[in-house]
Amino acid sequence: MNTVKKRHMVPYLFILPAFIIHACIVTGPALSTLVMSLFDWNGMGNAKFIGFKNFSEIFKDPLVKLSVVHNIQWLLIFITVPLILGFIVAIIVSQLRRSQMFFRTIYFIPYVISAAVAGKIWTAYMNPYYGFNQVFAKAGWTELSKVLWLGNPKIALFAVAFVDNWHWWGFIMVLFLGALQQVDPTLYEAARVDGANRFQELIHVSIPGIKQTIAFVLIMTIMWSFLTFDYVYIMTNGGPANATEIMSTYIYKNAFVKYRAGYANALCVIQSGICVILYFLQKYISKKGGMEDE
Amino acid sequence: MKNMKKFLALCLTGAMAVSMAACGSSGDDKAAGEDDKQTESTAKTDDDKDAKDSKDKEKLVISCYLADDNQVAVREKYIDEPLKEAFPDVDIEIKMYSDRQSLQVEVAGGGGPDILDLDGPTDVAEFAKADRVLDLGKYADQYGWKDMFYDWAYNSCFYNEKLYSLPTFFEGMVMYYNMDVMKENGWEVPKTQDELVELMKKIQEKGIIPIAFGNSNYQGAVDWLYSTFTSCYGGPKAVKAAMEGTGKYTDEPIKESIQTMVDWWQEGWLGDKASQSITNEDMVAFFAEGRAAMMIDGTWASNQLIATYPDCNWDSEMMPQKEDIGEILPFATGGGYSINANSKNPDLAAEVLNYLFTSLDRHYQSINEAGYQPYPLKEFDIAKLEGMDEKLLDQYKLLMDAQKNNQIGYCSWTFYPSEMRVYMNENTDALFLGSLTVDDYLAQAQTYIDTAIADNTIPVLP
Repeated sequence: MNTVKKRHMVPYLFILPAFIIHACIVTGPALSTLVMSLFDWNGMGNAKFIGFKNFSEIFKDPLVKLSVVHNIQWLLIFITVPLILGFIVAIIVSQLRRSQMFFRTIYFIPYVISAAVAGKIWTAYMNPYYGFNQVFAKAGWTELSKVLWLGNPKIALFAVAFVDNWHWWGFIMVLFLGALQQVDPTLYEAARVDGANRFQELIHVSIPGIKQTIAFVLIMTIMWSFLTFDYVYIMTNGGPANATEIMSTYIYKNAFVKYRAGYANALCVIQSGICVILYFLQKYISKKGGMEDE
Repeated sequence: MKNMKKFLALCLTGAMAVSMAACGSSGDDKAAGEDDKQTESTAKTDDDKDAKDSKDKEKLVISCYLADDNQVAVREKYIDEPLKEAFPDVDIEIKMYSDRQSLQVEVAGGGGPDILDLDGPTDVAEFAKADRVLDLGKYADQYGWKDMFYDWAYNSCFYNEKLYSLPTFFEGMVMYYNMDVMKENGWEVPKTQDELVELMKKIQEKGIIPIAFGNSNYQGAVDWLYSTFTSCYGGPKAVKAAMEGTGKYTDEPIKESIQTMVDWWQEGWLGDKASQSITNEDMVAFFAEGRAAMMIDGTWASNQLIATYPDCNWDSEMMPQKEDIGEILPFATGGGYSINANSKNPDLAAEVLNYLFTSLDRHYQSINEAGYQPYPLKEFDIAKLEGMDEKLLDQYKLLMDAQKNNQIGYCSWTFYPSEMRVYMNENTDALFLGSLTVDDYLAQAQTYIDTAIADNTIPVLP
């Protein structure tokens, strides 16, 4: 082997360990999920090959449709509320000098609290007998005090999404804040010299300056919205009456409650397929919209 | 520098290969590795000083649920230590699992404990379907288990005409009354369904929740309700006929009983129309603190009431009867011991199981002193429990009397096909909230019975 070839091999040797790990703990199980989706399997015994029957059942299963609709609702909430809130607060906090670290920390704290703990705490807050409702009742807000935040199928999903937002937006804010601090200050000076006001600075300097961060946050939000599990599982477990059922909780129930691991694998494949489609869709739109480089 | 890079690359690759090889080892090493990885805490019956000896002993692992320190201490006294004395040549380990999934995954991977403590016949059936638990027929003949247990409990452990588990304890659904609330308001314990309805109206007028119920942390708790209503107000005959194929689950008596349950929920008598917002723990707390006057719960709740709410003055009775049906107590076997098909010592595991069910002095002591639930054994003598907590004793007498007088109803976690139970657990809230009709609910439930009858996997009802 000549020296040039040897030199080319060295980087591959360095990435080989990571590649092997990835192949063993990501690629292998992912492929096995794909294979097992073609089997009737209860998660323990011998699997029976049934071709695409699981997939045909998925398209007839009303709970799958309901779960996907809930995931889309979840996505719409998370693609707007925490992003707008995080962005606005990041802009405000970025203007602060002395107390910036304080606010950054305060807003970031919910993100470091585990979902299990936060979910349980908020479930207690939303308890109609000893939670916020009691405060509302004492304040004389009778109608509000009767709301079953997690028990009313019409609002349970939004109640859980509110809690996940509470946990999530601080992280988005910190990402935006970090990006805003990377924007070249001379661009703002130039804008001011040209007579731009604060709003124009925001539109023409800040947003273009952090467009790649916005694109990153968008893509992560879209995918995480379809993969979310923890808060729903902890706070409502998909209830009441499937009102908060999402793909992940439905997959979990099929795998471990209904002992339908083969069907759960097929659902995982569909879920991954949706994520991949959304990923490319978002990439395409971002590029067309100038959020990412062509 | 170039050589250094090559050297580093080779070292890293070598280290990687070695670590992968270590992860991929088989046999005992693998099992040991799995043990290390277990996040569940493990309690060994052997003391540290015996560790050396235990290496030479036969090993037997028994699974159990995760428990707090007090429960572990009680278990050590009434199970671990007696086992250690009875089997001095065996290294018996009681391994705690935080949830069913970890045990399921371990067993599916070809490992797992020798003796599996499962959730009852419907749970055992899933392990049996996958050939992960042994047919205990051979051991039943050897140890005479058929004659030891009450027929209803023993027969419930069959799946596809084979015995796959032994019932670890039995329980029933009863109505609890907060006697302080009842006395303060001059209310009598109702004897009939009509009296109960009248009482619930009065209780609600007083601003008290008639019957506490909550399932926000465990949706499946609705099976306590539909098991109780179908058995007590639909009648055990109708349920049995449906399961045996001579009737349908959509028949009028069952339909009426489910409709009654839905009506009571919608009246606010059952769970104050907020059961999806409160937990099981809230439900017990509401009852114990007098926010609710009654509670439909299993006999297992008595221990919780005694331990957590010692000042609560409660009583428990069978559900107030429907006249043409009489008093019924829905029964269940609360758990089942099975032997793992992967066990290297199935004979020893069977011997240990036989010891657990035949060491009655130990068992009486565990019930008397630690509130353990009784095994459904024919030889069980309630007189041996004299001196224990009176309320508990009354409840055990209630269970025994119902059993003796054939007032047996059917709890879903013992007597329903598992798919049917999963469906009903997931959809009963939809009935309450009006997004599913009783007819559709029962028609769907019936399809699972039809499938189970066709597959010959329908549970045996006494």
